[in-house]
Amino acid sequence: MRKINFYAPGLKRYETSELSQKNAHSFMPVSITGSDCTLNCDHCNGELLKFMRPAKTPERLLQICQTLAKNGTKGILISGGCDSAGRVPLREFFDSMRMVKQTLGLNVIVHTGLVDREMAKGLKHADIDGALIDIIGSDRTIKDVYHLDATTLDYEQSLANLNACEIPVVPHIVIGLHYGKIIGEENALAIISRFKIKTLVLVILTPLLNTKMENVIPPPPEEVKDFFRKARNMLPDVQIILGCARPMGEYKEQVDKLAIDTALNGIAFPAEGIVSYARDNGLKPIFMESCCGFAPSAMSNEQ
Amino acid sequence: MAKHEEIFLPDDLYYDRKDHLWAKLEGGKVRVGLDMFGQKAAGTAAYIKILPVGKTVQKTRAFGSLEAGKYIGPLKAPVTGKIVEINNEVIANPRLVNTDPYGKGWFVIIESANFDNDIHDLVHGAENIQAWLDAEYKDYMEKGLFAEE
Repeated sequence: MRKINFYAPGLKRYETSELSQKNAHSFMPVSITGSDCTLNCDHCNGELLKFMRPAKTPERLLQICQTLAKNGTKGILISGGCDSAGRVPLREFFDSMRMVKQTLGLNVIVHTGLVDREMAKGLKHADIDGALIDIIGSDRTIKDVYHLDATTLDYEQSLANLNACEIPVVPHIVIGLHYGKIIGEENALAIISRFKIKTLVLVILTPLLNTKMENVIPPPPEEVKDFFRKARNMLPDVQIILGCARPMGEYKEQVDKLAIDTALNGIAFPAEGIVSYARDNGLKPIFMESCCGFAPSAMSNEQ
Repeated sequence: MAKHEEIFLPDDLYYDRKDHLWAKLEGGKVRVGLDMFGQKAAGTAAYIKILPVGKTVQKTRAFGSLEAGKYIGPLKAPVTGKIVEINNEVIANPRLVNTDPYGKGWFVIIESANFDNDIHDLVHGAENIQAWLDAEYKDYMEKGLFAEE
């Protein structure tokens, strides 16, 4: 029987009639820049950083992680705003990340932004469990949405640098990132297909308050379904997961079903009724409280 | 009024100590909403579902659900009774939960079957509310369940 993974990490407290967390703080996000970001991209404007605990110095990061570990947290997501070159300023945190991993025993996952070779080596030294990076497949989107002087080649090179240092990397694609339109996503798939990747996470543009996209309409579910199909066909051996970020309510109920219809391998924070829908479609549901990018694969026999 | 930094909890309400729903007695009916502590922990409300008028709900069982930035889950009734009114304005504009938690952000009005019996485990009274709020704040901060410090 084919398996499907359902994830409910501690990024949110989560409970439906089908699935609920045992530990609401098993996996916690931390921002090394607080809510500061130089880019203030049109889809985020630093709003996502406000949900993360600020740890602006390596010492503060260690202190926070000690408290979290003491209270039952198993892993952290280290994130932050970007500098003007599209990189999260991680360099001064490498040693403290290593201590968090090796001394406190927490899983450490890092949002990187663009990665040059030096940063990849630093992340290797930090002994992180994995890197998360949004791959953008359109130069226009990089310029218009991120206001960044970079191209898709820079994202491709970032994957190459992470691969060269053998850092487990989980690329993310934001469907509809260009103001709700799907324009570079297929090229992002093509870029990703050229690298050694075990897991791809797909998320969907979620219009956030206080951003330039707060009134943007997310891509229609039918277009999302087409993209799910393309991803499945282009990357048949890669575990593909529908990640945390997607519009809520009825939209979410629709796309979660489409994820199952198009044979994706996992869903984070599934909508009410989706576990039953998976069972009705002959799938064996597996529940996990870990971050979807680095949990055992639904395509293997690891679980 | 109980207060901790920018969070305040009016003294005249009854509070569910786990889920942070408030209950306000209005004659024989009970108006229900999410307190300011609960909405801060939940983040920005994005989607609300509520059972229709006429449904009977049991205390501690869901009368609806909330999807927010940091919370996806049920809204649990603080009292048993029949739903006699739902707030369509908050369903259309969930952010009222955040912007006006004790005013336009209410969820339902329940005709309570036995209010006096149902309130025994709800927090009430200025001193009790303040002590509970302080303890909850400390617990949530230690567990990192609030973003800000």
